[in-house]
Amino acid sequence: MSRYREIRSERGQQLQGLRAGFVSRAVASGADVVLVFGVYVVGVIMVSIAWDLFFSKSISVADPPHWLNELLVWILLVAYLTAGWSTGRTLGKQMMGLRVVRSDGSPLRFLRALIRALLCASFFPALLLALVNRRNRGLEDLALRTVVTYDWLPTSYQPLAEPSRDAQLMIETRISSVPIARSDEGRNLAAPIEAPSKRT
Amino acid sequence: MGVGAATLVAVEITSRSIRIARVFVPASIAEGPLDAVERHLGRRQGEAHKSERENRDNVAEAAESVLNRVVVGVVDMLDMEQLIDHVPINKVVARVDLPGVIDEIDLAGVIRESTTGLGAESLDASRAGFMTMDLWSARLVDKILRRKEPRDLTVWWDGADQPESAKPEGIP
Repeated sequence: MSRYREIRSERGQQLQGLRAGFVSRAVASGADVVLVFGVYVVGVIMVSIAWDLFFSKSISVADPPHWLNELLVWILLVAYLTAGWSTGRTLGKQMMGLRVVRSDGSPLRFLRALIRALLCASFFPALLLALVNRRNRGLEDLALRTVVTYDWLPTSYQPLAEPSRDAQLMIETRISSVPIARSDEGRNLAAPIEAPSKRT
Repeated sequence: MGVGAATLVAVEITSRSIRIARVFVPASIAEGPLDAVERHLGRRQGEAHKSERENRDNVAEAAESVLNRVVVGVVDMLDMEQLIDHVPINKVVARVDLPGVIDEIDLAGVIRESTTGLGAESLDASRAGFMTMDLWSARLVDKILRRKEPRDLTVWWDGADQPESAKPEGIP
């Protein structure tokens, strides 16, 4: 029995294991940034209150300099993304049902996750490349050979070797800007059946 | 109703008499008048049946109305508070096996299942919505860039054999 039966949405079932698009990735990244920023603000408030309780007579919230705020948020974001990608996925990606893996489907190791996090946190617009790239790859994906896939199920899994026929047909009909020739369509439909489920 | 019943009895008696008369009286003499009488009897019989049905409906309606009024009147006359005071509610409740009833209802399971199901459904729906937006935005960009080939969204797995459980149905 396919494990995808647990997914209630038909489209969700069809696209599992395929490369995620720009909107989902942007929303997941935005959620991660908001989360980190919220944690930072709460942390600053709590540290200020704790400091004032021990060393000051009045309680006030600290107002660090602008550059320090940015630096601390950046460090926190890099640490959070590294931890998320090297151990599974970040909360934003969990929310959107996405997973970051290497191009061969294996999970990211610490160093690759750290470099990816540094790149993403330093140059956020790098993600925009996923909008125009034919394989939905952002700059960080091209540089580090990583892939962001749809993976709604909580446990980790190996990405698909071939998309289902329905998914392939849907991708072609929805994304392709021109109608596909009949022969091409037939070949594409037959490909998942004729070819073995692996490609080197 | 009584008139209708009497008519039906009279029609029945007359009808049987006509049948007897047909046996004894020669057909050439009696056939015409007897047929006319029978036709007339048939009409009367139909009218009597119709009248009987109407009467029955009216009687049922009247009985229901009377019964309702009586019941409402009796309930109005009762002093409910006094009545409740006389009912030993504690004894009644004590007889009910409440823990058993609650055990029979898996309340935690019902709540868990309903909330989990609702949450999972809304999460799946929102993710599917973003998937649609992914496809739509990709299609738009591809149109702008005048691409002819569809996007390649497949991730090629070149590690160990893919587990059977991870394959969606339809892939051999």
